[in-house]
Amino acid sequence: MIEDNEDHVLLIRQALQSGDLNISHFQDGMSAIQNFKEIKRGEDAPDLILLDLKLPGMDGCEVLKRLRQIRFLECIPVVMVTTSGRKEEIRQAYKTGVCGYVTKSEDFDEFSVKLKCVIQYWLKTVESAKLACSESEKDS
Amino acid sequence: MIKSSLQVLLVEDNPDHAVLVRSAILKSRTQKYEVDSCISVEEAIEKLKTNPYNMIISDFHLPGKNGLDLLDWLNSEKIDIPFIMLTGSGDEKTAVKAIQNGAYNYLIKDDPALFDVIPHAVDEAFLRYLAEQQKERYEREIREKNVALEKANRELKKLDQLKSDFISSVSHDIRTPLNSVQESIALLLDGIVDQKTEKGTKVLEIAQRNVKRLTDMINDLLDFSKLEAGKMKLHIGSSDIQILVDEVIGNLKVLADKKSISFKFDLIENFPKIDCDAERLLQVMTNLVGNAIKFTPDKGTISISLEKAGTDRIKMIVADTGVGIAKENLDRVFERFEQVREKTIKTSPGTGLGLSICKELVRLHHGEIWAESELGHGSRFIIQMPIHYSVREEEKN
Amino acid sequence: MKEKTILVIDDDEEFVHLMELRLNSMGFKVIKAESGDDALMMVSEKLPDLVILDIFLSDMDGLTILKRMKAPIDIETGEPSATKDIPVIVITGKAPMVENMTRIEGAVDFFIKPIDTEKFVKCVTQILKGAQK
Repeated sequence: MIEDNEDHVLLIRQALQSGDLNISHFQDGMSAIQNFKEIKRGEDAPDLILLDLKLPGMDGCEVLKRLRQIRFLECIPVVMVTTSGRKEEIRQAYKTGVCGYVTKSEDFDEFSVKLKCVIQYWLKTVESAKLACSESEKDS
Repeated sequence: MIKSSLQVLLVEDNPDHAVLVRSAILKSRTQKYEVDSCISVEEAIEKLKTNPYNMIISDFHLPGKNGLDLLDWLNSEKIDIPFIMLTGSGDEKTAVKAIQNGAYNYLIKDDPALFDVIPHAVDEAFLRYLAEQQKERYEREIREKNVALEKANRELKKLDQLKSDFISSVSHDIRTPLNSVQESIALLLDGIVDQKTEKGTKVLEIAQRNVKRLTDMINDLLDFSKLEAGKMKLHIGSSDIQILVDEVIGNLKVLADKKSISFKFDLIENFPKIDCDAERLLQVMTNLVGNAIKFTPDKGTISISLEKAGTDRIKMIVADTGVGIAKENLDRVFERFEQVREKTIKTSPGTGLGLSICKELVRLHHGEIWAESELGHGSRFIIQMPIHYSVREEEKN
Repeated sequence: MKEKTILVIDDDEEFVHLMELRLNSMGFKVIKAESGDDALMMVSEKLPDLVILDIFLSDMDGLTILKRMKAPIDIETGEPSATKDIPVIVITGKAPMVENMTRIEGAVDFFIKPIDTEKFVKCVTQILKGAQK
């Protein structure tokens, strides 16, 4: 998770409260980039990135671009969390390569369900693709 | 057994008993004892504060504080000396309490065999004490060895991981140029290009370039393992470094011209000849200048300068107008397997060993190499080394 | 019969050159793009019969290019996509998540550099010659 607003961090952690998600958090793009630049194995890369469009310093879209330039993160699913939900922002995010987005809403339960759904969708899809790939390897 | 005599403190207020116990102790045939006696716990404590004793034998019933109080005091002061309690029959409760509080043994005064038992009890208590000390020493040693083993294990795991990372990155870096060579040859053999045509020549050039890349990589790897094993031997002779610089520029001019990069190198009159392994120094300079070319954009400049540093050293500086290096990476660039992953500059695959090899080679010449740079403002790589190579310095290292 | 066109998106010049010679010999025309923006423009303008895409490009990540090509609606224009049915072969250096994500996004096949030429040729032939039927 790359998010600078403390309240939102708490909100998201609460929304995602489930035992099998390991969440690591960065306040801004640069620290996330510096951290993941160093990894030497695929296993050390996260399975998904949750990203706020508005961040201090480098903005969300630029961060997304740079993260995908890092070895082992070139195809990582990225889900954007936005407060405004403005069409232009979302369009720009998709142009940059976002996989999905969730707008923070007034209703916490609604937000929690949306967020979980989107994240689980991507995590499960990647998992099943992995299985399909290893099965097809068995055939060939 | 222990050669010098052991000091026993006897705390007994009845003078007759004291004499008898003392002579009983001295009957021991396995160990020599010296017995010091006193008549109260208070006196005992005073003595214990100033003299070293190897054992304490104390009566329970004493004027003032009693034997158990003495034992308590010993425990609270964390004094670790074997303690034997003398009690009367019917005083079993006291005896048990004493043992619970750490006494090694208790002896019953009314026992007719007491004076035969005493020397054995004392010997045995002392032996047991020694055994406990030994056990504690061994346990400590084992703990320390474990810590060292764990540390060594962690190091090994790190090295193993480094090796795995290295093997996977190198195997990919080696396969890529091999693939290009293979495909080039396949295109020619399949008749897809004709070597006599321009197309064919270009393909052959691609093959040639990649063979060179592979050769360079393999040479790097070999140098690296030689250096790691400490088996690199320098062949020291006296060389004119300016000639070496000229050679490097000559070799790399074609590469530099492709990017319209110009060289700046001014000859200095009467520059001293340096003791060095010319071939290895050439290797280092080629690496530095080659890097400068890689990381300098088109139309940039690379300047090489030489100067004396003090009376017995020289400095060589390779400066470029390239992208520069971030401050936090200035040391890291010299580390093994460090590769710049920035995508702003296209670089061909390499082993990431070049600069670490340079560092080692310069070190073997008893010199130092370091980098000065700022992002966006070019870099300077500086080598400082002695003019004369002294074997004695090698022994010092 | 119209000659089939293949768009190759990869910034490794040597690699592309050798591939172009091979693809030409198979009877295909090759057009090239070295950057993401170029690539997207060329795909929608030239509508090639096959796209060969390197994931690791210097200005844009291959995954986003793939997504935008395969999206049902062109995000720039808002019009229905003309490119979504163009088959895409992804090439890359070894990385675990790449195959998964690119297959999810609709890549038809996937090759790790260094490429097995025989398999690659078979794959391209199957895709392009099969489409004729």
